[in-house]
Amino acid sequence: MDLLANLAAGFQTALSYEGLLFCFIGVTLGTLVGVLPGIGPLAAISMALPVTFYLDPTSALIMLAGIFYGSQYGGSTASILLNLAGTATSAVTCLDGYPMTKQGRAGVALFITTVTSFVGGSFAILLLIGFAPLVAQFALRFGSAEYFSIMVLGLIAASTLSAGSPLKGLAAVIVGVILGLVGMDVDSGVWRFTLGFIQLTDGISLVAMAMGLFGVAEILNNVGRPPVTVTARDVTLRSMIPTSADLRASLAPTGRGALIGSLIGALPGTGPGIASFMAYAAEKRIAKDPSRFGKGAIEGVAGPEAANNAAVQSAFIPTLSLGIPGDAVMAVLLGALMIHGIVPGPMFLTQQPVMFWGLIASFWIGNILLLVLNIPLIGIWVRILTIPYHILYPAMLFFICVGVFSVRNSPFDIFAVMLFGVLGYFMNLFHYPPAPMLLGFILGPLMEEHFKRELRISQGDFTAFIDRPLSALFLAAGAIILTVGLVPVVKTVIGNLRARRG
Amino acid sequence: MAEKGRDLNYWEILVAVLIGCFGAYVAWHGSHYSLGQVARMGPGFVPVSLGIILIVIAFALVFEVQKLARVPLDIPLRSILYVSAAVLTFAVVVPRFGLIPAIACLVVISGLAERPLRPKTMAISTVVLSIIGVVLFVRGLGIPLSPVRW
Repeated sequence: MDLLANLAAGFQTALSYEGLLFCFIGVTLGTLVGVLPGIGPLAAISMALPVTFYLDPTSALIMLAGIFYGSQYGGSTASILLNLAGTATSAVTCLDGYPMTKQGRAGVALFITTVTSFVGGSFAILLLIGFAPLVAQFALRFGSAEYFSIMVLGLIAASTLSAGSPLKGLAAVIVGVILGLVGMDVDSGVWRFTLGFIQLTDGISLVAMAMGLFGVAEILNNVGRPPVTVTARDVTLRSMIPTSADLRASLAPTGRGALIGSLIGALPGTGPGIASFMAYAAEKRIAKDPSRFGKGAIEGVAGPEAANNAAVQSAFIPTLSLGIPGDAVMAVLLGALMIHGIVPGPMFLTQQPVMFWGLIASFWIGNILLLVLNIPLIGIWVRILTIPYHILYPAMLFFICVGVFSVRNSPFDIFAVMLFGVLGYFMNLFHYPPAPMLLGFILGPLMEEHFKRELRISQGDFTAFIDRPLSALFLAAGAIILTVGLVPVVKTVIGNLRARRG
Repeated sequence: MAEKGRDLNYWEILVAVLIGCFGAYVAWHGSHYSLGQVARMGPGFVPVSLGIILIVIAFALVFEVQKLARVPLDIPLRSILYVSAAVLTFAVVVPRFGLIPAIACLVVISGLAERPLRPKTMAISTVVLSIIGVVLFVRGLGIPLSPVRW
């Protein structure tokens, strides 16, 4: 009955004036960000991050989380109506959502999307309620070896499972880890890689990196290109009512999507993007007539949407109970928590139960708010899509600049944002994924600490990482994922070498 | 579609080589910090190891990417330069002249990245953003930025 008491306390926090206010602001902002192409949840959360310093931690968390899962709702709007992926995860929704629009069934697609997103999110929240405390209990027995190994697993998963070459993903992760080492070494007090810049003694600013890689890089991607013509279609409330056939067809995919999403989101290193992709692939494989996909099959919309909302919520499980981020956005949220002086992890649940359960309660409230907001307000969101980009991007640059400046009062950080923006642009150009790099940046210093500590305890004995069963398990899983991921790479390399000889 | 013939994708190879160079630099610079022993690692151990791993990955990358289909690189260099310059200018102007002049510079310079030039939009944006900036950030959140400084 402890659980009910905790939930009750949580709802009390979440339903307070502040809790509701920031939840509302968060989800609204999130939907807005999801709708607008060119700003992803990562950039938005980074931009909101400095603002949260002036709030109390619980409200800050509620708001930032709201932005995250809100953006999943909004992202589907742009992808269905305009074939524009508002967020990376909604790219999958374009595949069948846009054809539905062309068939005049945009309203139905939007409605189903909103409902399945809610179902997916709620399911994952239930899992979160059930499992996070268990995982935290379990994790109390974690030693440095386990922490190190699970982070290795997370980074390998992040680099190999994201789109594109796993080798490039690995390179990105390692560069990220290296960048994380910049600054003063905790053990020895030595300044590493600061290149004579005093501003680097505290390390590279996380906010600068996140905003640069995802905010500025996206702007650089879009500026100077011919504008995308947006015609706001009139989506009436009546047009959104689905037929009973639609509802029946969406039922099973929603369930499957929720399950897939919850599981994938809970793994460290993987997030909603992979979840929605896998849900789509699963639906296509299970379908009796796979050729319908890509032409407006409602299963192709319902499944992935349930999956990505579920993944977003379940990504909080490892983040809050282990202190290991489920994906790049979680990593930034983790950074936000640490800046507030809160260290998520197994202790978090016991030491800050009000915050933890308040957050979870706010997730559910947020999802309800989104359900209620999105259906009637679809028309408004669509109209917002018509704001021309040339008005938007200077404003975005403004928020980025002021935001990053306010973290450390440092013009140097603004300069860093610019550098990361250019870097991010070129990374996107050559298909090196930036999200794993950010993940590596945040996890790197932690990994080093645990690595060194374990070796100090075992007095230089590397087998310590394999002797302990859990640690060995994580490392083995990582090795498997890595090997499987690298098989196509090895094939390519051998193919290239053979062609040269031929 | 670009041909996947015997032509090597030079740009991709260059990027892989650059990564390798970065790894080499990290390993080299890292070795200047004390490495210590495995049981008591010094600050240089991890950087050197990571640098070496990166070199290995870069090496493999060279072989992976060399046959990638060559896509014409369409880089809007001017836009990138203007946006970067805008951010840089903001960083320089804000401590010296205050928030509002910095906003003006930001809006104008980044606006130059797009053709046609839209002076009216720029003016309105500057005013609106300045109001938001002062009300939300300076007064509301108390961020230590002065609106204008002589």
